Amino acid sequence: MIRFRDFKFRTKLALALVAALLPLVVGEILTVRSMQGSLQKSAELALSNNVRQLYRIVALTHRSGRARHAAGDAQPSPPGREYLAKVFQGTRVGKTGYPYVMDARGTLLLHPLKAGENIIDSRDSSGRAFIKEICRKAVRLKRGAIGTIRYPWRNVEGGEPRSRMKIVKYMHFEPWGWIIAVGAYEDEIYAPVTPATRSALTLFGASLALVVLLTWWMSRLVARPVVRLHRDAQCLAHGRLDCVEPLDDRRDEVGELRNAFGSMAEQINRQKEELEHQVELRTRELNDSREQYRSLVENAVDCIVTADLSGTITFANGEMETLIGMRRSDIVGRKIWEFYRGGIDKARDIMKRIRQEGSIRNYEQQLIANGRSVPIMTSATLIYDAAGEPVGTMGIFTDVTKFKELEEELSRAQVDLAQAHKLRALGDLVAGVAHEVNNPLMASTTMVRVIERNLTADDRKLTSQLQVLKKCNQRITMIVNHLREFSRQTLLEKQRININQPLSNALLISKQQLLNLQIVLEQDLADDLPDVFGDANLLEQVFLDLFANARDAMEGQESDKILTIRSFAMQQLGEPMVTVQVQDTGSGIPEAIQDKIFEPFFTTKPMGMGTGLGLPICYGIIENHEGHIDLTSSADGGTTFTIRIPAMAPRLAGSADEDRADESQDPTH
Amino acid sequence: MSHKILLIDDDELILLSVESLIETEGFVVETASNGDDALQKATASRFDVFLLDIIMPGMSGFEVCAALRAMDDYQRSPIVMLTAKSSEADRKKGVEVGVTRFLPKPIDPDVLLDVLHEVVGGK
Repeated sequence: MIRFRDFKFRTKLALALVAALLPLVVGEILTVRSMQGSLQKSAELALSNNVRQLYRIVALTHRSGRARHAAGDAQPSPPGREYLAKVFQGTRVGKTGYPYVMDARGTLLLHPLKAGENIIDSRDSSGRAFIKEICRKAVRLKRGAIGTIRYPWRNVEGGEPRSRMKIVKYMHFEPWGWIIAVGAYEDEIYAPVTPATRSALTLFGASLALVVLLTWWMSRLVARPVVRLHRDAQCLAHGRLDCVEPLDDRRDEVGELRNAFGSMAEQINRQKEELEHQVELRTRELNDSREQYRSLVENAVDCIVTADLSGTITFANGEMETLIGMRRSDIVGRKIWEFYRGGIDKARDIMKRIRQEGSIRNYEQQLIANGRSVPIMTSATLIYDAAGEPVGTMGIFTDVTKFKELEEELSRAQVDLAQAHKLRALGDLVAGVAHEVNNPLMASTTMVRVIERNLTADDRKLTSQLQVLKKCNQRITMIVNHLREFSRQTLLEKQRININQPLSNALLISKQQLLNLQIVLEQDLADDLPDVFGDANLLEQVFLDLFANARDAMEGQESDKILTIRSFAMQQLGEPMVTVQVQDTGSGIPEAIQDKIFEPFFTTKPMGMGTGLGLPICYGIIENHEGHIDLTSSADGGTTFTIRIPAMAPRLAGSADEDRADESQDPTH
Repeated sequence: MSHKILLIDDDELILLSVESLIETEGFVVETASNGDDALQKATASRFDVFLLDIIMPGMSGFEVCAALRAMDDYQRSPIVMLTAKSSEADRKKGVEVGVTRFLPKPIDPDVLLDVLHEVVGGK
């Protein structure tokens, strides 16, 4: 449906103009019409007056003629007729109009050119016999009445090319039967009407033109800025702010509107620019912070992993890649428990704890990485979406392999330390005992010797009895010496040695005995061992003791008897150490007595097989080398003794053996 | 002429046993059970060899040794130290105060006699 308010501004203006001008035009036409009418009427009135005047003259002439001729003369007297002819001759109507007189039969009585002619059959341009009509109507006119007839006439004699409307006013002068007529061309009698109409129309036309012109100008004045505003607004609507034209200097409402619009656009432009600037700034900040967080997460030393609520991994950082040994693309998408040693049960347990407590910290478990188990601490928490609904979990895995190793080493060291304390106390006790036994033993030995020397060859019985005493003394001496060795009371002669040397010596001594017992010997001695500062003889004694222990452990055994000897370099708590291992495939040492094995007089061997001082002495010797000796044993896997002694720094070229003298004293005393 | 030996030890068992051993071998022996007694006897008569225990109540063997070395008669006399603890530090200290030989207890009687003959012969 077409609605006025939908029309364009200019169309509206034009329609309004038409609506306003229409009555004006109609009014003007009507006015001109009525003016024309009244002008014509007055022109016709003048024509009528001419006829009436001529009628009066004719009537006066008749009256004077009648007076002169007495008694109703039906025709004018010749002088009267002459006078009238002159009067008629001298009368002109308009430019070419003239009066004439004819009788009722159409014979012209007075006529400027055709007096005496009968024109009753004269016809106008349309073929009407207008004279006949005049004659017929004139005789019926009341006295003093004026008839009127209009007809188109072409003056052939005058050489006119087309017919013009002629108007004829006529009266009937009864006494003489005269029809007095005055004819004239309408355009001639109406002549004054035309300029008036023209000037009126011209004025109106000019006004109209002015109005249209003004309207056009107004529309231009009003509509054009509006159109431009519209264009600008559309431009703005399309987001282009640069197309708003520069402000003009108009002061009217439209100008103000445009100014307001312009400044609005400028304002928007400024705000837009400010906004863009802010957005750019924020975007950069966001990117920076995003990069910062990415870098934090990516370069974290712990594994960071996120998973959705179904346990599917959605993200893994670089450390996770490194630990697991898989590419991130292969990790993401898998279930988290595929990497848990405890599998889905572990994942369920973790999830249960998270749901109960919100998060978990330092949950110990094992991760499957590269096919092996890695001990880790798991800390995990829920992640929420913007609405506060949990959408998944984030886990941090800390590889505690090193920590565990240290922990084990520490706990071993603690056990060793406790053992060492115990054995040291025992050593002190033993040293005290040895010392106290020493003097009486020496006195006894000496006295046996004195008695022996004083005996003669005859005292055979006494001599043999004395031998028993001598043996007692020897046994006691041996025990005391062992006790002193254990309690580190003996002197050590330490020097720079390769531990393989006493080890090989001990092997050489024991080899035949081992072979006799069908014990297979396996050796794996490192070639490039660092030296140790030690007493080769005492170390040899230690190894011999250990071999003897191994041999005893495997003796009589049906299954394979293998003695494995190893030496190698290693690090312990950051210190370089030389390690010797002696491993047998014997019956093993029950755990309950493992920590007693280094205590003096503790033995599992049958009476007479050992003094119970072998391993304690080994312990004391190794302690004196600032090393340790410990054992691992299981009932089926045999026993392994491990000796660790601090390694010396490599010998510098040229320094030779000069350092030996300075170092050859026992550092414990 | 038999050599004269002063045996100094706080343990009576040692004094009795060693005295018997040395006498059997033909040496002349006197005993002292502490440092003061020993120095008194060393001043009273002249000795060729001293057998000296380290650990004694009162003066230690080292002090006795130093005191003997301070006497004109014993500046070069053999002084054999009988030690229970054969530690390096003791040896060092002994050398400083002029000990001739160390013998760690328990001492084998034959060894003791060998050493005695040796130091006497080397005099």
